[in-house]
Amino acid sequence: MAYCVHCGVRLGEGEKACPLCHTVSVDPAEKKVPSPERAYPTHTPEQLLVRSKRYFLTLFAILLVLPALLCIVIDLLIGGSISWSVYAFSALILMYVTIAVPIWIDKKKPYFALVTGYVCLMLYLIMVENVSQSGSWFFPIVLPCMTLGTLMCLLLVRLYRHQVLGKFTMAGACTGAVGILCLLIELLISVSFGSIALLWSPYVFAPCLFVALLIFFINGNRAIREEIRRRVHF
Amino acid sequence: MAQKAWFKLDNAAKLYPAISTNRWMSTFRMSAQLHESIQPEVLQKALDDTLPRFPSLNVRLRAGIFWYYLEQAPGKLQVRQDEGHPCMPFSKKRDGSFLLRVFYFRNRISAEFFHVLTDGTGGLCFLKTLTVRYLQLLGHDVCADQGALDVADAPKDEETLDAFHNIPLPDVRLSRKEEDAWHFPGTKEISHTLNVIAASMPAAPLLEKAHEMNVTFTEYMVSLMLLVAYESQKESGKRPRPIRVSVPVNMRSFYGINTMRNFSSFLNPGIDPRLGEYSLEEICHCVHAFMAHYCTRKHLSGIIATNVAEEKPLLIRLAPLFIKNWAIASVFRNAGDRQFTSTFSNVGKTPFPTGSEKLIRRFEFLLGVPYDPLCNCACIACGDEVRITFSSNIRETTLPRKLLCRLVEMGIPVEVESNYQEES
Repeated sequence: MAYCVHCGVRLGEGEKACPLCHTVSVDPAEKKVPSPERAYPTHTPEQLLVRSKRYFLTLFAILLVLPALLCIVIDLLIGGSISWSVYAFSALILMYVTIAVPIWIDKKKPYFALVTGYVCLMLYLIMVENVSQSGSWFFPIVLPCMTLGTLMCLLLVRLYRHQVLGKFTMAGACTGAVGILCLLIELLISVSFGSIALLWSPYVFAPCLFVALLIFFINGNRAIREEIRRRVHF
Repeated sequence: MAQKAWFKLDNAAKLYPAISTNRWMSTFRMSAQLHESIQPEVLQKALDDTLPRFPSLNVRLRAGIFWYYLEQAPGKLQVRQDEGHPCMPFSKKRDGSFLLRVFYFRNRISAEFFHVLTDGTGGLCFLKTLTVRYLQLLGHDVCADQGALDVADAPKDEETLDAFHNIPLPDVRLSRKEEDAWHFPGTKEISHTLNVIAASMPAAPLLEKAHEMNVTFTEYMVSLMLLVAYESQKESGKRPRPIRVSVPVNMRSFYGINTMRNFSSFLNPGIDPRLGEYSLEEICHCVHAFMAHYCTRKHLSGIIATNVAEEKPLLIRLAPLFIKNWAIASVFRNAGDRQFTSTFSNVGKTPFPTGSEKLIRRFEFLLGVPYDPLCNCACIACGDEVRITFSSNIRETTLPRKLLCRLVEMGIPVEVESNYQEES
């Protein structure tokens, strides 16, 4: 029989700590015998019910087939050949793959989902460049920008998953990353045009940097941080 | 007696399907703790014998065009070993189409109910009948009395009666407007979590304390909860707000109707700390005066009349179910449990069925997960023991800790059990 030294209540059979104040009950004279079973099962609560992935993905595919077919039919009826509908068709495939792959594999494999999305998007853009015959813009501009963005996302995901930063500082890091990404993208574009000039990106970079610094500053004050967390948690 | 194949939802039950999701459902649990370990096969046989005696519980929920309804559930309800947290939402995958579950765990039989079926009194009657049948099958000489029904009897019409529509009601609509009440601050747990703290204590000293204040046991416990909340509010340093405790009232005693379906109303006694300081004596006086004024057949019938009148207009009755669901859910999401700080549900003193005094250790009553982050309290008294069960979806244990510590300070011995996971 044990009593909580803080609350004065008697602890039920199998309770190793006071349920009210969580103070651990220790009896130095206690013999090492298997502890009796608790009054209630204490299994980890069941998480949200897992819905059928296959069912959802099939339904999603069926819903996308309709607009895809509609685009092709309209394109054929109006133009007599397949022209613009190839973009819509490919975009729908891209949308399906981007959404379906993370659902199909596992939420806990974000690297794979990110890389898959990146590869699909690149393939789509190469196709657009070739079909539209609008000059060479993919390799000099799009590929480095998208690669840079993806690498930055992978880095942020890694920081988050390894809990290098807290949730609050993570928000600051993401904001800062958006600002830096804008700077680099404009730099890459201007280099590909043969000049180095920053026109619009400093206007994005400056507020992002300000917000990021503000978040890091607030992070130092526990009271304000908790108040914000309470109000904006989701 | 003609067994009804289906039932309309009673007035109180109409709310629950509309606001239920796969994350939250209004449920409660009744348990009987025996002295011996439960034998699952015998319990299954007892359940098979008991369930047909309760046609209003042996049902599933179906959606009509305008309203939900209950119809006899197909298949057989299986007893299961208790695991995980109690009072979780019902799911077709785990529970079939039934809206009640029966569990066993060590020496405890538990029945969990979706509130659409019945209230605490009906749930306790089912549990007592099941427990008596279980003990009878084990060869014990136990009588089906003191709130337990005989499974050999045919169900009576009265037991499946929708009492809300079968009592004389005044032509009145009372206002339900109340300011939002103060809530205990706390860290909300993830969904599918219910923290349980169960406390046992002797009934006599508690009753003595209540009588010292010239109040009933329920009034005294409500007053203590209000006092604890009042002190916590002061400690929080926030702007004072009204504190109220919701108290379900069993309407059966007022109308003499012994239905197994929902037949309860609610009263919210409370204090307003903006008006000044309160002592326990003053709070007891406030609660006693409130209950004396409002816990009367006249006032409670007014509340029921208001609720029933809302479902009467032709326009509402002809609105498709999905529109009703949307409207009810929208209103509930905005109001929710905001009008009260906590709930104190007391099913009162429960006698053991004759012959089971030495076989049943205690009964237990547990409220399900609150809609808003709250800590609710359920109470039942058996023999010379009171069992108070706190159920919450917040991590902090402010209400049970302060309330039980106060009882200990008064010299009342308290024993606590919980389902909190031990820190590893």
